[in-house]
Amino acid sequence: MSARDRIFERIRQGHARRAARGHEPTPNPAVKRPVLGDELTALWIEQVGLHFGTAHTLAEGQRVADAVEQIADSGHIIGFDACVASQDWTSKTATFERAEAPKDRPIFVTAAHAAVAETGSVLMSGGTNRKLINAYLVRHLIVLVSEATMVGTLEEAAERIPEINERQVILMTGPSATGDIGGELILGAQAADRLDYLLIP
Amino acid sequence: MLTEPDVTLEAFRKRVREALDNKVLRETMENDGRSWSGATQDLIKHENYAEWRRQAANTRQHVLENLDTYLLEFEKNSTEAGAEVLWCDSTEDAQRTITSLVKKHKGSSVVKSKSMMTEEIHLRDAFAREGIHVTETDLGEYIVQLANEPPSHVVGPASHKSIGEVQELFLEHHSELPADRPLDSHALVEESRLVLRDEYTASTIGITGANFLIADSGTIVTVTAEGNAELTVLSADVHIVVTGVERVVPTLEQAMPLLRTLCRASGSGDVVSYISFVRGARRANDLDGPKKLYIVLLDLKRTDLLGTTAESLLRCVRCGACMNHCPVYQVGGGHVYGTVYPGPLGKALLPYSYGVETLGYLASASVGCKRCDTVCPVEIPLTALMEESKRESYERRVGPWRQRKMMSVYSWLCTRPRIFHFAERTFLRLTRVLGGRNRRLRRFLGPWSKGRDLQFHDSRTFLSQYSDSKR
Repeated sequence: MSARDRIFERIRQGHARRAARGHEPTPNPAVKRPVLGDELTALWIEQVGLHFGTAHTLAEGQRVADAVEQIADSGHIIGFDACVASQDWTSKTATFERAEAPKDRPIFVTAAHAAVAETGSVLMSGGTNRKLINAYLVRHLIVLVSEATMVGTLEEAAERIPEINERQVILMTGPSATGDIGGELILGAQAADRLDYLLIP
Repeated sequence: MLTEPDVTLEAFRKRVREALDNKVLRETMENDGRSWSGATQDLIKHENYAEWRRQAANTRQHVLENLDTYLLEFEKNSTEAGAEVLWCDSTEDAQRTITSLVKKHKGSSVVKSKSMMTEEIHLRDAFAREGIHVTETDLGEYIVQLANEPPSHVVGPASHKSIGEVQELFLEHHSELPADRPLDSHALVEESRLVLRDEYTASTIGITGANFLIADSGTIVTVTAEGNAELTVLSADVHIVVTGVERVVPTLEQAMPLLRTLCRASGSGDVVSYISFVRGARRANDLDGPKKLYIVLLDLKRTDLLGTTAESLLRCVRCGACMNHCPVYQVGGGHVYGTVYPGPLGKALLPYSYGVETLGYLASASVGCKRCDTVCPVEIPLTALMEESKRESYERRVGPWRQRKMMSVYSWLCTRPRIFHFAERTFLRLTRVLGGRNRRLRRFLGPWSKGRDLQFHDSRTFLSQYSDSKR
């Protein structure tokens, strides 16, 4: 008898014990979603701030590269993911380059599949045009978020995950953090310590 | 390699005495307990928390009552997504299976994110025996690995360590770095970040646990605040998931209330930084991700609890809230217990899993305050389960003779209120004369009076104080 068979046999024995005790079956509970109101973007921006991130909004007529350059506020090379390669990254003052290898780049730009207002989170993934590890190797991560992708609750985010249809999807909320040394909250434990979002209306 | 702790009652008492005499530990635990329990209290004040908790408890209970159905569904869907599911029902079986996988893929160096299941099967020891180098990637786990200790808490493995102790460990183990470097808490985190980066790069195999397994899609859910679970697997060729059979949840939507309660109860915030949903191995043309995904599902006596009075323990989501709020755990930390699961979870679970003859005494290390019941995000009646173990120990005549005799006398007194109140008054009067500084009662009560001042400011019984206050 294999371990698998033994485990299923013990599960069946457990069911028999429960039945013998006259236990009433517990129905599969329906999920009741929180009610969040209509101002999802405002809620998302507020939640981003509460989770140590910063949300910026692209001004009318402003280029994404210019907005990113403003956010980056440094002379470092700014790496960008394949999923945002179609943007015009030419710039007079900053150097943008497509990040191929998982190097520890100081600044990296990628895009989210969706934003989640309830928690100020974003859904990101790996895939054919996204290298997920780059988002973990950098100090400063800049995420482009289309306002049109905004969802309200975590349950709505759960609906988006199969639609994204990638091997690994991440619900990211704020920078990497630890409280393992003396109970003090320290950002940048392993991944980004600075997280900026550029909301594209 | 870790030494298997002695789980006899005598060894437990010895560890308790040592912990009580360790001033650094007691101070660290006191600070730690305050911050964790305070954070949880703030987070569970949310107006919907009670509803989410009910929903989380019902989802977990429903799964347990239909475990075979959901496990089969998970196995089918994860296999279709490209994972290979392996089943193990004992520690030896699990150690053999996982080390074989590592050897098969020629992995001499492994990175591993925090997983209580791998602690249950003593995976680090099994790897050491086979010459496989493993590095823990969660900072707390990394610290206890350097100290050659097991974790003392399910969420904060190094919560018993003071910053001074961590500094000493880093100075000792990162000897290639200048000894006079500054090592405040930020510098320690930075140093571990850099050291771990090298380990990620050097390893081809990444091991993680799984907080939940989603049946209808074969998805694995992991939760970390540091992002180390993703780093562990994204640079690896092979991802091995090690988790318990009870972790399955019907749908992704139903996992969301569980994630809300898990994060809040653990004191980590309303949601932690990284929640990862993994389905299958790397697909053709994916830019990164492991090429092979194994999911090792472990039983380790879990299914023996199904249908018993202790079944509710399998709802546990390992948030550590019961430990953060336990006044007993907060005094001595997790190592006192000598078991993988310390605190109320261990005290309730282990006497059922390993028998009251072996670990029944753990249930007595409780003050019965029920704070663990109140904060548990999946409504496990931990105190009632501990009381049930104590009753069973008493009925089966397990434990010290003197303790059982005292329980008999106490039980006899409790059923005779007039004699009980007389005895209570007499005892209080006695403490006035014999308690306090000279502690003459100590000889009679032994360890019970070691850490307590048996002189009460008010010698009235609780009932007489209560009736006086009503007047």
